[in-house]
Amino acid sequence: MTPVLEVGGIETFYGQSQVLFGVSLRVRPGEVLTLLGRNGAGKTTTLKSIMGLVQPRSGHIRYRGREIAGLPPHKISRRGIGYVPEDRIIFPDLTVWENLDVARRPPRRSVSEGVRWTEERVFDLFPQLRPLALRLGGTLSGGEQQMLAIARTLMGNPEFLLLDEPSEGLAPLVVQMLLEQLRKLKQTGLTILLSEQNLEFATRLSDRACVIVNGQIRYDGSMQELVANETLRRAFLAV
Amino acid sequence: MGEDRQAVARGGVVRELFPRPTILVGLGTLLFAAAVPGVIPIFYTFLATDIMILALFGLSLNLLLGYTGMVSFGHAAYVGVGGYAAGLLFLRAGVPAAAAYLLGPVAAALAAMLFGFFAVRLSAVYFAMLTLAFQMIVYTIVFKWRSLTGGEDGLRGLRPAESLQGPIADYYWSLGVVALCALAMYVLVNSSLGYTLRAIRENPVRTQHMGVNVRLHQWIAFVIAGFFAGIAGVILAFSKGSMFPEYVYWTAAADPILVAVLGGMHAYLGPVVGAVFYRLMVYLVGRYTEYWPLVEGAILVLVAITMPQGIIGFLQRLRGGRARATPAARAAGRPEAFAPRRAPQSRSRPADGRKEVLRVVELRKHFGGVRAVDGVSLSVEEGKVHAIIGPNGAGKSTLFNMLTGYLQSDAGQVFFYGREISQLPPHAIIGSRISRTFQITSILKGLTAYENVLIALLARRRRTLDCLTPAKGLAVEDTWRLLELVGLSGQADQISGFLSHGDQKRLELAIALANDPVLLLLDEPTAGMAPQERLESVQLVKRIARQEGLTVLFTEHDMDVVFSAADRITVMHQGRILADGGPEEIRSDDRVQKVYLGVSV
Amino acid sequence: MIRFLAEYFGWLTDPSLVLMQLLSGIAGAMFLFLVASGLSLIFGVSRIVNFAHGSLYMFGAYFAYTWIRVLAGSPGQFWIMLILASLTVAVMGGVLEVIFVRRIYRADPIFQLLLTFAFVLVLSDIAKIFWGAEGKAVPKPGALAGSVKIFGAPFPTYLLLVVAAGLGVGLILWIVFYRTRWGRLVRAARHSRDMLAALGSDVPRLFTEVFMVGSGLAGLAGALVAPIVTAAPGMDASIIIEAFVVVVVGGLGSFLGAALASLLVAELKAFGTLVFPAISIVLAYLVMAVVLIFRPWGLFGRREE
Repeated sequence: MTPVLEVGGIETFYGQSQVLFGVSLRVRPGEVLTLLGRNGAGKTTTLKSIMGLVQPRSGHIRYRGREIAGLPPHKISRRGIGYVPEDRIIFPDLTVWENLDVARRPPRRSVSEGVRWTEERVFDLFPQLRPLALRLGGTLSGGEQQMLAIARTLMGNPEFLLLDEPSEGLAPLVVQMLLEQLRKLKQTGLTILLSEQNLEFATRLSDRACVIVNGQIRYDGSMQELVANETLRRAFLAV
Repeated sequence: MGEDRQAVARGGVVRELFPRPTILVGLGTLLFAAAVPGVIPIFYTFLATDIMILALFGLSLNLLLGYTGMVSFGHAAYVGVGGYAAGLLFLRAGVPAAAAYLLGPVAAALAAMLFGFFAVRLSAVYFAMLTLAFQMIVYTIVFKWRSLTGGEDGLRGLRPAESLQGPIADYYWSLGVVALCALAMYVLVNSSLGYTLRAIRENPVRTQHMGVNVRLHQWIAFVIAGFFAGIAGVILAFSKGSMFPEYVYWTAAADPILVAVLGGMHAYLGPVVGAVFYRLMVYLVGRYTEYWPLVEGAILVLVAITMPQGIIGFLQRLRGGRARATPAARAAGRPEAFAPRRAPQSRSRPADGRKEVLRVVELRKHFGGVRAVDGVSLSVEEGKVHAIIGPNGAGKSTLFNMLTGYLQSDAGQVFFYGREISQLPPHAIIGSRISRTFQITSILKGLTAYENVLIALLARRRRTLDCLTPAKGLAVEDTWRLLELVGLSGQADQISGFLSHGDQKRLELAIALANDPVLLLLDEPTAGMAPQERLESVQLVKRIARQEGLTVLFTEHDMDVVFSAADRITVMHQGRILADGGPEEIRSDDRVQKVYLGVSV
Repeated sequence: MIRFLAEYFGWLTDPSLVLMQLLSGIAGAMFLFLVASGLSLIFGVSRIVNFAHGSLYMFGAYFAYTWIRVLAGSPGQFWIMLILASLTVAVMGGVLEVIFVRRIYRADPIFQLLLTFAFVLVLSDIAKIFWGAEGKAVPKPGALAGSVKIFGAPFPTYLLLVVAAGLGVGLILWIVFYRTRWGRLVRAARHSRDMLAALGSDVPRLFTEVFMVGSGLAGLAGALVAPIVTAAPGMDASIIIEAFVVVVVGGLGSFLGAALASLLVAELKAFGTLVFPAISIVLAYLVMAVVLIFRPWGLFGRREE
């Protein structure tokens, strides 16, 4: 199967310090691939490199067979890639509705009529947000902000989602809820590249995992194998 | 102190302060300037005087811009105050010229003290605008108060009969004063104060967390810069014999900035080079066009967009290499052998060793709708290595930031040895010998590893206001000892921003230790390190803590690290304390297993 | 004491004088508001303090002169001129942004200040080259040339237009900012341009548009003021400093702040002239200093981190 996204040997720097040392990964259509790793291993930087928010110095990033490395973020977004950052970055002085509105993009032709995202559909997926539509983004709780961040990205009708540590700092109950909602999303056929530290959360959502250690991919394979193999887990992950 | 003096003697003040290239350039410039009246027509001495005044003006501004990182857009105000004050005292109050010469700069310094008091409270853009507004106040006053200042006709007749005879004498007099001022400022930027100002430029937050009152030092820098600008104003007034409001007009504020940026604001002589270049250009191009401002503007556009490092920076880049220190920044020679470290100074420690170092009571912090820290109470015992763990976003960093006053808490209190510290500013908290590191390593990235530790030591010793002693001669042994302790003595001259991630973390630890802390707060000390590196670095911390009898409070993700190092563990979750106890207790706690360790452990 | 009061505050006994000052203060506030809100709008998204904003205001006045001559005789020339002058200046702002300003968004603030300051120098000379050093008078439209009686005192009709225009533009700005998608995009960009770009908005274009709108506001203010003061060199400097005071007092990036601070500064100037004619602007600076001591980020600004 041809991958939707193919990242090949990217090297990314912040100023002088190198963060990614040749990261490669492939995401297949319709799957959830989890990028696991400790804090500072390079998960966020990998996602930001794909999104064009930092420019890798070398390597290639192909989306649906076309090179996207070097494009500005808005063009990458318009190709159909959605990005939900780790720190959510809700616009604090816009209301929930306004946060959704600024992200609204006309769907690409490849998106069929039936799966177009509207406020209504987004609120159906995250019913908690509906009564908050007129509240300012800055006043939401952490869980609500996370849902809004995902909902907002959906308004751009992405076909591929970069999801950076969605479970971070959320209460177990909220994490549970979020997990259900993400599963529903997965069922719509959305391809997801998820970055996580929470192994359990990742296991319940995805089939395949890459483990990133100090800016290099050190494991690329099935989720079950990773979970089953205690040495592997201990060597690479926080738990 | 005694040790510092010895170090100075050993290193040799003069050699430390004046590396050979600096002497050569400085003397060369001076000799050339001294020869000017002999080799070129008399007219050009006026031009040369202009250049010198502008160079002094630029140097004084660069104390703020290049050394302290403060963008003042109103520095011409102090030229104006200095010039007008001296002129008015001489002309209207009958003060002798010599006294007026001295009182002008003093007036400028007083004005800078008043205006600076307000301005240093503001962040970059607001600071620039407020300084500009103050300049406009000065302008408005000299422009409108005709009866006193002569308004737009200017203040004329500033010709002290008794002193100067003709343009050449005038020139040498100005040259002497400017050279002296340049020397004084050179001594200053290489003193403890100068290094502290650099630290503020690089990273005000880190500098504050070295125990430095950043705002006070910025204010002092502002006053000193105003004083030297005042001298430029006095020279201007007496060499031209007049003062005009346009010297204080808002466009005049750009002159010293242009000169500093053009020459290179990160080189001491940058403004001098810039002044020479700029004035010659005004002279050579300006006389052929009535549209000089247009040309000047075009030059500015080019400089701003293509040459941010200025002429000197551009030349340096041609020669290549930025990762190593310039000769002037090089570390003081490493002593052959260290005296054994003095025993940690006495800490009122009770015999049972169970005293409470830190007590946190019901601390709270909300950000919008997010309850980052939601009523946390905590007690840290003396001599313990105490870990705070919890998932990302549990509130650990927010808690840390409130402990050192970096964030103001919404409610609750913090006690350090029974004394409430929750309302103190960070530098005062650090000054009571609490040190901290940050989750995102906070060091002075543009300075060498050696300078990082040195400045922290100077702050600890309350030497940061010393503006005479060359900093490189101070605290030599202790700086090397700390670098050695964290394993960085081999990289002493490396610009710290170029160090590897792990080395930067170790450097930050050395900075924290320089404060001679009783309590060490480490926010994720091993974030981003490889597993092996993590264990080593925690062992290092633990060893140091045992040696010096420190109490350590740290946050951490890595369970291996936590269980191998901590005597006591507090688990945070969603801004609250979930559990608190010894490692075994925590390991077997059901709730902890559920939310943090994962069911599988 | 009595003599002092009589000397400095005697005007208080003349209600029509007080009213006149109040009204002319309000009119003055409108120019300030137009300029300051543009400055503030640009700063809000780009974090750049545009020194050249006063130059754009001056160009508005010069273009008013030029367009009035081009349009001479056509019906409604004054109104068409207002629109054309604003548009011309908007385009100027856009060109400056695209060619120069966008290169330094991420640079050190000193270079941003230096660059926009360079614009001031260049633009003032360009104005001299095109329009000469003499002031250029722009006629008031016939219908607005006279004065109306307000509570028995004559007040220039034209200033009423200015007040109306200021209020109208303020209202439109508010609607655009809070009730249109473009306004939402601008408000979002103020918080995080990267996030907005990642959501698919063409942020560089948005920045250019913001620059154009901000510049257009300055151009409109210049075109409106031209019939009162004549277009002349030096207008750029006098307005920009006052506009700085306004945005600092009101808080950079806040429309409401800009509006109220404009009123405050203009009225201080209007009444200050009666008390301390020589240094009325100093009063405004002092107010600014006081505000900044208690609220370093301005009355309606947001605390910077």
